[in-house]
Amino acid sequence: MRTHHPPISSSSLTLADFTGVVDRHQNALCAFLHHLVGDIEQAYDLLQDTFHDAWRAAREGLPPFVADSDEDQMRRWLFRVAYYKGIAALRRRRLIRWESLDFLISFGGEPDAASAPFEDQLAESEALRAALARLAPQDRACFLLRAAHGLSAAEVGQIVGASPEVVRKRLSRARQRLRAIYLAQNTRVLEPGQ
Amino acid sequence: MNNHHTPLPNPTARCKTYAALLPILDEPGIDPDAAAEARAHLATCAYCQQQRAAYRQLELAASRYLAPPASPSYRTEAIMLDLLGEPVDGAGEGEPATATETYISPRKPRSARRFITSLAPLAAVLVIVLITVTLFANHGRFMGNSTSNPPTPAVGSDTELSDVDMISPTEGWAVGFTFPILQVETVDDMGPGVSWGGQVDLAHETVVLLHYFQGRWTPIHLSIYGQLTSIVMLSATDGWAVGYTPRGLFPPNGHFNGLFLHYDGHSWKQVAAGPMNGFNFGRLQMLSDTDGWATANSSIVHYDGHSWTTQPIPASLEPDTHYVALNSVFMTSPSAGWATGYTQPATNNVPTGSPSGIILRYLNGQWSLYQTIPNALMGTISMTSADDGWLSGSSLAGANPPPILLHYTHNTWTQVPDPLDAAESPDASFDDISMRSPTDGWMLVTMGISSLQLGILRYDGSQWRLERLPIDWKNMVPQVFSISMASANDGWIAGSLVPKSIDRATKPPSFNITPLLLHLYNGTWSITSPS
Repeated sequence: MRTHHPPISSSSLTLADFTGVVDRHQNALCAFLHHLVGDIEQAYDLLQDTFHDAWRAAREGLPPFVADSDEDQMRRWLFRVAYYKGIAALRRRRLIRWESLDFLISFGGEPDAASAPFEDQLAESEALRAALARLAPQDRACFLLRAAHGLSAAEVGQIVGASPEVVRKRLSRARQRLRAIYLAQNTRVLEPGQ
Repeated sequence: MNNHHTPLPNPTARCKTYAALLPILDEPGIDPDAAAEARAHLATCAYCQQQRAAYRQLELAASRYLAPPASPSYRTEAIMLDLLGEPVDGAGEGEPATATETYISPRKPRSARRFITSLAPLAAVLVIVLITVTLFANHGRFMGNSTSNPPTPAVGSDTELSDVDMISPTEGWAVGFTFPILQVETVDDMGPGVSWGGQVDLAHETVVLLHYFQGRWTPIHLSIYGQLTSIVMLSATDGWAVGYTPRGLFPPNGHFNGLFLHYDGHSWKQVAAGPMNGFNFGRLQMLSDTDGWATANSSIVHYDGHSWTTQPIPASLEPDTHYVALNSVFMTSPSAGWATGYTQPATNNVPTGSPSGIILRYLNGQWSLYQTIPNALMGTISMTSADDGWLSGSSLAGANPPPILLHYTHNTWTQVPDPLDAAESPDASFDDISMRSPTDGWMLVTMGISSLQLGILRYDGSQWRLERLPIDWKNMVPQVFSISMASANDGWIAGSLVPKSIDRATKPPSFNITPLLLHLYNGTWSITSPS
């Protein structure tokens, strides 16, 4: 397939600017995609695809990848593209595969030794990921964007293409399901005084 | 894990009313009246308080296990390198190669031998050339049926090393590429004894970079499609490498973009250095970080610290009516240097006459044609000073032409007597030259199709002497492209080992070509492989 790439416009980001965008957002996008699709290798592929689209937009001088663009706009654009790519990938796959816990240790950050024993943290994280996998993909995305990435309901709505009210409903549904599944799998978190 | 169970309080009749609101009670945008009502209930309901605690715990777990890790994964470089596989500039002219497009490998010649075997000017364009087979055109008679293992610890990975540069006896770098094989084929018409070739997915060749440090070669991972062809280390913390990456398969969007990498002592990074469309870099010479020279097929290109630019070639080469190939450039100073190659009359890249070796000279800011050698191909050049240097080449005159060796001294290039004896000389080729001083030179030589031995010609200031490499190649054919001496008795040769015969039924298809690194240490050459 051959595609045409128009010349770079004067308002386009420079290569250094775009590299900075990649540097600032790749980590969050990768984490989001990983937990959305449940497969780190696929997350890497989708991440690359997302930045490929961004790169194409930047070369065409399209917002938000233009000089003096708002960083939040770029972040929302990237998450939105990543979200749709992740959802499309899940539709194609229709199956969430989880990997071994080895990856979790390296990708999810170093265990916090001060707060809980290492094996307990592994069990907790495994329970959470297993619970997450049982959510509808759209609900899962809303929960990840809100709880793990700190975006507001309005921002999440812009990313997933829904009103803030719909996002709150999805968040409520996601949290109730997660709580129920999490409760069943990991009773420790519900102990009094915890 | 603690599995204690604590009995939950029982829900009241009103708890169900607030069940959907409880998980999002802190969310902005909630109806204030509904939120106030829920909070009033929450203050008096043990069950909902427990639920609320569970939601908070869930949020904590999400922030701990699902948020981006504190330590970045640092994939930025890999992402950008992948993206830059597309042309950054002149974007309308290019496109990325796709995984579905494949064709037979048109390998770029890198040595005099390769020039011989790929003389057809079709090599100048992206056409179907079974160059892997043509490499065997001179070696075909050694095709055999043995399947015994090669005398190397490296496993055949269809990897070829193009260049090696040693900083010291304990540190150096090598570059090359790995090529995916699509299909192994029977080929009957490529020359006597040649029976196999195949299709290489040129769009997905990947660059190879090896680092030698304290006795061990280690691969450095770079996510770049293409080939690295040459490397120059100015110091242990300052190095440059060139090559090319596929841009597309067919003209006008096809061909290559130049690859230009820099090492700062910590990592290799791709350098944006102006338009490099069509730059399939050959050999590189860096005089400094802001003064570099290289050949790029029919061009000589110069790097000024910011960008690469194509240098005008002499009009006397008649590029409109001649195919011009440039093989080697060597600058003795920023304002003086030499380049070599050959030219051949051609119409629409179809040859209409015999090739002639050419020697170009750079003086006063421009290149001029210094000397022409009929029926010859000029290969590698190595100068020790502005007044002393050597140049290898190949003659095409006669049935068994000897290789050519020229010496520059007293302002004149003079052909020296063939240092090989009459039995060894026919069909021998002189490859890379490395002159450490006017009295210490090294040259790779492959000797003849009848014996196919790899040798080293050593120059001591008065004459070249042949040293055979006492290695039993068994059923492999050595191809060597580069020699780098770290000291008078410690050096490396880079190339590849190609099997004389291969199993065409192997899945996945493979040529079983192995990267080759030969090490001279304490007077003995031995084979080493990457770890």
